[in-house]
Amino acid sequence: MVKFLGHYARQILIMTLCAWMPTVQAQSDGDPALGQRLYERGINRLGEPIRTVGDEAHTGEQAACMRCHRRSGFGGSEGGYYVPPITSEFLFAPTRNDRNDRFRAAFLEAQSVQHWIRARMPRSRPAYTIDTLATALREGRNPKQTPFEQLMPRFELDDQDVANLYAYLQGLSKVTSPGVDEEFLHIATVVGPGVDPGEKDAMLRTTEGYLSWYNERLRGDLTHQASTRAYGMQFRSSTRLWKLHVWSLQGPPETWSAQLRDYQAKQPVFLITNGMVRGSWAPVALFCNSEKIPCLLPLTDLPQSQGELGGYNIYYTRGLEFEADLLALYLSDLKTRPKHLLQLHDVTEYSLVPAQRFNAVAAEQLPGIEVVTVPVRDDADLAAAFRRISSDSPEDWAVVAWPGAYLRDVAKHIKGRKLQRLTVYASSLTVKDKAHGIADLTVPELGDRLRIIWPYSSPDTYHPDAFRVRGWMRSRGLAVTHERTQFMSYYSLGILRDSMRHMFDHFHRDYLIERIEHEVEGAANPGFFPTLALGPEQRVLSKGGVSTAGESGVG
Amino acid sequence: MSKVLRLGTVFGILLASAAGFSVFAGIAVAADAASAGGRIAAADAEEASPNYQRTTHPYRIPQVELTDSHQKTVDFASAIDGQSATIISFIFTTCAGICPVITANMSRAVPELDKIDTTYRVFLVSLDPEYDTPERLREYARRFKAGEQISFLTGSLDAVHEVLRAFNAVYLGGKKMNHLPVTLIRANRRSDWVRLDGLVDGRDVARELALAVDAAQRQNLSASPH
Repeated sequence: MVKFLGHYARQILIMTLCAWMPTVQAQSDGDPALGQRLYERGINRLGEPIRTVGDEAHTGEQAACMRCHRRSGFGGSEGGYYVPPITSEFLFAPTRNDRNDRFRAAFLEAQSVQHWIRARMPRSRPAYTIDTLATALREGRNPKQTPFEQLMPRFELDDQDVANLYAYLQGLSKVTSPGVDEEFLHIATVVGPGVDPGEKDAMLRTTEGYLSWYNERLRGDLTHQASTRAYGMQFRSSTRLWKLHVWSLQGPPETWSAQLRDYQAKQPVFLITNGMVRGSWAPVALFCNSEKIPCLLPLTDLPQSQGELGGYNIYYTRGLEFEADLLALYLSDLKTRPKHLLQLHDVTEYSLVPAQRFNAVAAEQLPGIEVVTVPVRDDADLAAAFRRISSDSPEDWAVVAWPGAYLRDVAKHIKGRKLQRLTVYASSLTVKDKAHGIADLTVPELGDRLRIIWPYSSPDTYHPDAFRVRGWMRSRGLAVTHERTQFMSYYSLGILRDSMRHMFDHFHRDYLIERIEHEVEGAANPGFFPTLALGPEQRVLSKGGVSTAGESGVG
Repeated sequence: MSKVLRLGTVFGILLASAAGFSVFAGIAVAADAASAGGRIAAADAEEASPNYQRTTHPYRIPQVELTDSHQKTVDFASAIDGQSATIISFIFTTCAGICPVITANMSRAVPELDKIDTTYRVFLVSLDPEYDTPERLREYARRFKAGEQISFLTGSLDAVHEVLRAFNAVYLGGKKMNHLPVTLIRANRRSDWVRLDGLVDGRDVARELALAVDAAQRQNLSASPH
């Protein structure tokens, strides 16, 4: 009977709505692919940039839905403005006064008074239909005829474009991403063959320790639901224990993709975090992009070479390519630049990648410097390379020596050729990393003529938040054996925790990426990098560095 | 010291809250007008009740060096303390929400600003200087068809934060995505800054500059000996 009455009431409601509906006509046979293009890139069905009413400067990609509502459709907040979610779940249902969602908007953001008021205002509307969606897009009114804010453009869209967008929005973030079940959020970390056992152990100990700690806290909250801190348990539907899966790779990098797919097929994970491989991270990164799995802050010096925008891989820095950029920037800022730069590298990726990058940026940014690039296969090559430096005017020269085993002989040749005043630039790997067969260049023979390209904070920087990590390590009984590796492993999981806190039960990977973009800048920086920040679609956290040995900072 | 010239927005918010409106009240007035009769009608409505808050402040200009989108070093204090009227706002190129609107509004303001009897300069300062290189700012300006009247500035993080502090525009929670839409207008070096909090349409920018120039001229007349 109740069911019957409910059905009857619904019929009356539908009839009432039909009678009230505006006269805007829109077709219902939309193409979701074209709708996605319109949503993400602001391109209409004719392949032209979409236009907004009365605003010639605000067109195409700048006016695309994704700019504000984001790829996931969950919106967000910026500049004091609340951008509501427009996923299928939200848009095509009446406003739901969901406690979780309102809590996030009202309390989890440090926002302005305007946002504070906006988030608390009563609001309700019926579900959108294709016709009310057309009205919203063209005239800026919701199904209750409430006008939108100025931030929401009024679009010049024809019926077919509206239908395409409608078709796309019906599927937007409709299905929960793989890697989460009723009890667990599954997280993987990837370990490649040949990595330093000590580094690997330090990373795994820290990662496992963090997950144990997180789960203990969650279990504690679940069993003490009357406590104040367990207020969060009102959101029980959104809490998951974290379960770690260590994906150990074997064999050559060409086979990693298949291995990763096997792991994912056996137990899908929601995201990948931390992790390390010897050599390029690109095979893992390509897997993450193709499977749309967030890959958060791997410990790598050779991230996938990509643009800094978009995709599913988030890095601390651009690694050795970034060091090449830093060096070019540093040299371009020097008052007295060398006329010739001897660039040495071997055949490993750790050497070839920065050398190739430096050649490219030097051609653009250092027109007055002749770069002489010499691949070093053996000591004879190295000797021949140094013979190119004229002993008559060694002050016109400088050397950049990218990582490699050959570095152990550099000081010998400099001394043999009596080039002690020669400045040598070298990667940070020559100091921090003995695991890849890279020699330590910080030898007395070079003294202060050695300049290290340092994509981290200045070595003498005080790290005000580092004590938190050390305190946590001590309280968990974790020995600090590889400080940077462990601090970075801790940091990535802290970011994950902060970001997941905003998601509640909206387990969508795109949404996670968007939350990470938002959370990084406000999170405690344990200090290895000068600043850590992201913006929408940005994928590299740290963009600054220094050259050590007392010269002015660059970056 | 600041002087609040108009409190309409604040009262509007409270009124809207009581009435159960679902949008920020000042904006709702503008949006309503826009949907009813297009942008010109909206501008007319805003004249009666603008959707931003207007205050005046005697801000001190910080002595910092910034870099423009053509990679030229800009002595910020000298650039601001020139003879021209000045308009400043803050954006960053990957900003998802309000920056495209701010930039588009500023771009649209230029033809209106050109009609005012004064020389002027517009500075859009990046809130994300580590990412917003001059090249990226140049590309951003191109996307918005921003003319040469609008200078896009970047620089060191410290320098940009000095500017933000000077204009009381530091973003909340240490996150640039929480930045608020602020437009700062000054008629000349002797005038106070007019601060507009909220999204300001291009016509409003021009109108506010015209008002500031007019007020400065009247102040000059009253200060000059008879």
